[in-house]
Amino acid sequence: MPGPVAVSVVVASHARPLRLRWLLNALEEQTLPRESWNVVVVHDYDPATAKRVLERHGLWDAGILRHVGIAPGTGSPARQRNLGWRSAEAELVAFTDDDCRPEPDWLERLLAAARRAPGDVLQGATRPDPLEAGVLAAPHVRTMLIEPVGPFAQTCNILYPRGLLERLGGFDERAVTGEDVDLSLRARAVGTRISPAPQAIVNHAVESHTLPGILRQNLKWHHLAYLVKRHPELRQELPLRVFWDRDHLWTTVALAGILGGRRYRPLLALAVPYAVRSSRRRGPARRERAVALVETPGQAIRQLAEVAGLAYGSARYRTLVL
Amino acid sequence: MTEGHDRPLRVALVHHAFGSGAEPDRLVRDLAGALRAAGHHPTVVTKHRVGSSGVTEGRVPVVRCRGLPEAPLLRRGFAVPLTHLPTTVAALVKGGYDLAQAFSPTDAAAAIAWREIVGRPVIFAPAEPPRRDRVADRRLRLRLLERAVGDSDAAIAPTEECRAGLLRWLAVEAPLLEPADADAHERLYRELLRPAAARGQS
Repeated sequence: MPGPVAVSVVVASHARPLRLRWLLNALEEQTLPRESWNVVVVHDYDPATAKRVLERHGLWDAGILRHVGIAPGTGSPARQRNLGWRSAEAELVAFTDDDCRPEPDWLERLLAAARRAPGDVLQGATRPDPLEAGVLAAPHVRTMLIEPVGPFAQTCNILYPRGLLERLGGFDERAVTGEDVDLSLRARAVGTRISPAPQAIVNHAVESHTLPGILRQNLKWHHLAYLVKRHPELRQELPLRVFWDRDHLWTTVALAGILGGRRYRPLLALAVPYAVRSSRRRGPARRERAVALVETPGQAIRQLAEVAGLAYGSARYRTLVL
Repeated sequence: MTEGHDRPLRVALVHHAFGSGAEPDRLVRDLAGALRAAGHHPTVVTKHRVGSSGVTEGRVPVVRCRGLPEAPLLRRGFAVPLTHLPTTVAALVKGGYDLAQAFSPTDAAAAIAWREIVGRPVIFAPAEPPRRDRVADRRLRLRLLERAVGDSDAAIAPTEECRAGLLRWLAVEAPLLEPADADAHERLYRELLRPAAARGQS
């Protein structure tokens, strides 16, 4: 008689049925014996898509895939992940995203790390998918590079003990974004360690966007101000305790220089650090610098929009994050 | 135009790399030969530069569509070729075909654009099986693939490998229609043309 399932994989999926299918294909290739794990997908797809993508898959036929459908437009990553882990049966819950492709030994490595550090939260490594590296040539890409343990404990590759999730009450469903960071900060606050599992590797999709597309996609980041308000300790990770990242810092400094330079020209020098960083974005070679130069206006617009979005979020949540 | 069952069909076989000597060539040649033997009028529409337009290969006319150099797009990570799409759409419009069968997502993009102009059906029949390392490796690749599968009037698999790849990577259950089987293709063509003809007569 098979033993209890050791780990449940929980995936929240929205608007990416094909990528979800590819994730299931990657899970199908896991080296961990199938009796030791299962998958719960929480999605908002119509029944026909769910049947086509999920119920006509090898993992469904093998009886180790379950899916929970919710009404379209009613989901959020936090709500879907909560539904997922609450309906999972294993004592360990591994989260990944529907735009990820775990390596075949991902679950085996995570489980081995969990046995070495019982009770810990385990963060694996995430990298841009090498199979999609060609897309990195695009000016506006969305992907993920995480060397564990990082400060944000993203759900694209992390394992929580189920008992800890119950104790913490799961993800904060009021958080529009950053719900994974919030959960990890609450876990740390109750004394749980977040340990690295660098051998447990997940490949993250590399998606190219147009400038308007990436601006639309990044609109949600203004809700990060809510996260910082809720967890002031997060400021220790932020440049000058205010800026979300270094790009935002130098973009803001450059903007101040350009605006101030209209009255006092030497202030234009404040834009130099931004220009230098921007020109090195693609690498040191002449061709890379030329490409970076061509891309600078688009990058500047994107970063200014992100800073403006965070300024709006700062006003909304009454805490300063740029 | 009437859609009598005996009327020979003018079929555009759109494959940008036709003539490059690669394996997909064989599928296109086999289908063209089988359709021709069954009394239809297939034409290969390609981008490949070898030869000139109008030259026949195995008594099948070939229309070659020009494009611009692709190197700049390649450097920027795009799934090339793309620059021949306008001339391919123009060639399809000019050819007065009853339907177009596209053999790659790029070819399907041209054929779908042609359908939006003339209202004739498009079949997507990938000559190479979809694989994980080829479904999203370049810019626009995934979008073209999703469009080819979702917006074509029918998706078919010319080989068992393609059928399995379509199911595994695109969750599409496509019927297997071997290129040499002209009868099966003709049945599908006429079935797809029926609603188009009904639209034309109304």
